[in-house]
Amino acid sequence: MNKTLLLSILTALVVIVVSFGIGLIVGYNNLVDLDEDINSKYAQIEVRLQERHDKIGQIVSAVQGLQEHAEAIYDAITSAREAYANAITGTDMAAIIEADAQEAIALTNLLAVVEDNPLITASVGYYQLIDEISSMESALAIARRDYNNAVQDYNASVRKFPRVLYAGIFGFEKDLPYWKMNDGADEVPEVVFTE
Amino acid sequence: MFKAARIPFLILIAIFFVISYFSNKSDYPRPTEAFYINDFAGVLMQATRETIREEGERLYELSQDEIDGGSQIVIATFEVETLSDIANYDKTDIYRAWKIGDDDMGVLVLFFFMLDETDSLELVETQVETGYRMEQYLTPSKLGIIVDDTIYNEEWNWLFDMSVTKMLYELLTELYVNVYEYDSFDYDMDVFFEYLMDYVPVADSTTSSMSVFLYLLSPYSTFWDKLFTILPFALLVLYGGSSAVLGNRGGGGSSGGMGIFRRRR
Repeated sequence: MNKTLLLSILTALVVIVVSFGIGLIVGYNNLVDLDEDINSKYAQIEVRLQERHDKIGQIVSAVQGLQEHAEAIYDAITSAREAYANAITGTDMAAIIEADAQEAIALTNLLAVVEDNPLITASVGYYQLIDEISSMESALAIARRDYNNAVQDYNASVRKFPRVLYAGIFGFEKDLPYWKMNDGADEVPEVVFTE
Repeated sequence: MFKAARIPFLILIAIFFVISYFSNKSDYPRPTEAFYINDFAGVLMQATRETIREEGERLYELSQDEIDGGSQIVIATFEVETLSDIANYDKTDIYRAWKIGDDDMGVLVLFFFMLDETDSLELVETQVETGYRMEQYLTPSKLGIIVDDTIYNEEWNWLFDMSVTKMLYELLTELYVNVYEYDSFDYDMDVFFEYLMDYVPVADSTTSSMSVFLYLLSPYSTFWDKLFTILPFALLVLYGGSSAVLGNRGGGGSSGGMGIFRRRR
C-alpha cells in the first residue's frame, strides 16, 4: 500500500517536473522567437532609414537651385542628415528615432518648397521625385508599424503568467520601447496629381 | 457501428467548419479564384479580365526558372462610397494577406471607384504595392511613369479596359525585358481592342471572392482551418485531388509599403 502510494507520488512529481520543463522550454523558445522578430523588424527600419538617407542626398542634388530658393530648408536637411549619420554609428535608439523624425520633417518641408516653386515643379523629374519621397515614407511607416507590432506582441507575452516568472530568470527585458515619433512626423506626405 | 458514429462525426465537422470560417473573417475580401484579377467593383469587361488572368498565369509560369522568378501581377478594383473610405484599404495588408509572388516578387495594383453625379463609376484613386524583392526592379519612379502614361493618359483612359490592359502590358514589358532579359515583349493595343469587341462571354470567376471551400484549400487559410475542416472532409471523401480545383494562388510573398498613390483632384 505504502509502496503504491509512494509510486503514485513519484509519478505525480515526475509529471509535474516534466510538464514544468516542457513549459519552460516552450516558453523560452517562444520569447526568443518574439525577441528575434523584433530584431529583424528593427533591422528593416534601419535599412529603410539608410535608403531614405541616401535618397535625400540624391534629391537635394537633383533639385537644382534649392539652396538659392530655401536656405533654411537646405540647412535643415543638412543637419538632419548629420544627426542621422551620428545616431546610426551608436546604439542609442532614442537618438535614431530623433534623427528619423528630423529627416521626416525636413523632407516634408522640402516638399512644400518644391511644390511652391514653379521652376522645379515644371521639371520632368518632379513627379518622379514626389513618387520616390512618398514611397519611401510609406515604406518607413510600414517598417515602424511592423516593429511596434512586434514589440507589442513581445511586451504582452513577457508580462503574462507563467512567462513573467522565468523571463526574469533568463534575463528577458520586460518592457521594450516602441518606435514613437512626434505627432505628425511619421505621416506619409499626401500626393495629389492632376491630369 | 460506423453508421452510428457517422452523424456525430458530421455534426462535429460542421461545427468546426462554421467556427473556423467565422473566427477567421479577414478585414479584406479574399482574392477571386482567378487570383490575378479581382474585379470587385465590376468595372471591367470579361475579355479584359480573361486577358489579365492569362497574362498573369503566363508570367508566373515562364518566370519560374529565372533568377528572381515566380513574379505575379495582381489587379483589384474596389467601389467606395466616399474618398475617406479608401483609408480602410491598406495596400500592404492586402498584399500580405494575398501573399503575392514567389520570394516577394509581386505587384499589386488597386483601383478605387466611386459613383459620380451621373451614377456611373469613376476612378478616384490608384495604388500600387511592390513586394520586397520586386522593389529593386519596379521603383516608384518607374511605376509612376507607367501609371501616368497608361491609366491617366487620355490616349487610353477613354475606356478603363484599354488603360488597365495597357498598364499591364507595360508592367509585363518591364519584367520580361528588364528583369528576365527577354529580347522583347510585343503587344498590339489595336488587336486587343478588336478582341474586346468580338469577345463572347463565358462562365466567370473573377469578380467575387473564392468560395469558403476553396479558401480552406488555399494558402490564405490558417493551419487550424485546414486541420479542423479539410482533414476530416478529406478523410470522408478519401482522396481529394485539391490541386485540380484550386485554381491560381499567391506565391507566398510579402511587401513593405513601397509603391505609389495617384488620386484624382
